[in-house]
Amino acid sequence: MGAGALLGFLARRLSVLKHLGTTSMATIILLLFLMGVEIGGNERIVQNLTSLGVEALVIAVAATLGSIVAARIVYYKFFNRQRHEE
Amino acid sequence: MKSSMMIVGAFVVGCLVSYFDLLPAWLDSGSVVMWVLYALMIQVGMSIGSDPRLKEILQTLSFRLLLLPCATIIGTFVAVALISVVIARWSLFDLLAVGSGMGYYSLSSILITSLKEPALGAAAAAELGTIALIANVLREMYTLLLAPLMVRWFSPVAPICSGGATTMDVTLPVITRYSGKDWVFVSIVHGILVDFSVPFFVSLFCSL
Repeated sequence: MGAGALLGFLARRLSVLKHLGTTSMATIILLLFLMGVEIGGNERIVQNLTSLGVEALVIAVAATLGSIVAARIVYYKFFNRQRHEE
Repeated sequence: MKSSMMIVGAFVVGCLVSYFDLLPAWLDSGSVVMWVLYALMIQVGMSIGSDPRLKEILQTLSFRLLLLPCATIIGTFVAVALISVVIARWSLFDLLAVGSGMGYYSLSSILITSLKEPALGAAAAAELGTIALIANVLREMYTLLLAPLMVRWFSPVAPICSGGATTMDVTLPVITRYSGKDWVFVSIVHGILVDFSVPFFVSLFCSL
């Protein structure tokens, strides 16, 4: 990724780079397809899908809640006051 | 929204194709995935390096602008660490790797599946990758659906932190709508910075 960043910076004037969004989207879709292939062919995962889903749900709720609580703290400590002064 | 559907769709099609054994045998190997992953990482790097906003953003970075990505990352890690008490099947660092996805489900799930393979074995690594995929898709969905409530109960910056790495594209429209136009720039900078952090923290926690 570092190599890519350097390459992208050096070649930033080339118009070819305008298509990067499209090609990386295509790459992501291909990768997710391949990941699906790996998972669909894996019986252990197919059997455990419900418990994986539940674990994912718990992690997602925790991650979201944690970040919005942190957001609230930062907002009232650092943003709100300054906005009032403006 | 359309691109998220395509990504999840590609994943589901892949699952079905291989579940029903419709696949040519040469595709059935991890090395293809690795090469496609390298191709993706180079492209991600190139799009970061060539981003015309990069210079502007680096110049305008102020203490307050940096606070929000820090809040997002620390808040996520603390909450996920707490939850690891409940989920006994995975280690603290496995779960933190999933949390580090910050809503960037495509990259985080792929990285976890390939980076965790040596330590956990292919099957368990793919399971953790699947968890990362679902958990981070859900995080994006919560942000899209619950943004108005987050603004009301947790301040206008709440959907920005909850959106994680997606606040410069997928979740930007709802943030603009419910937090207000004042927050668009903050949201974009936040998204880009958290985006950078994803490959870094995912590989860090995968190696611990």
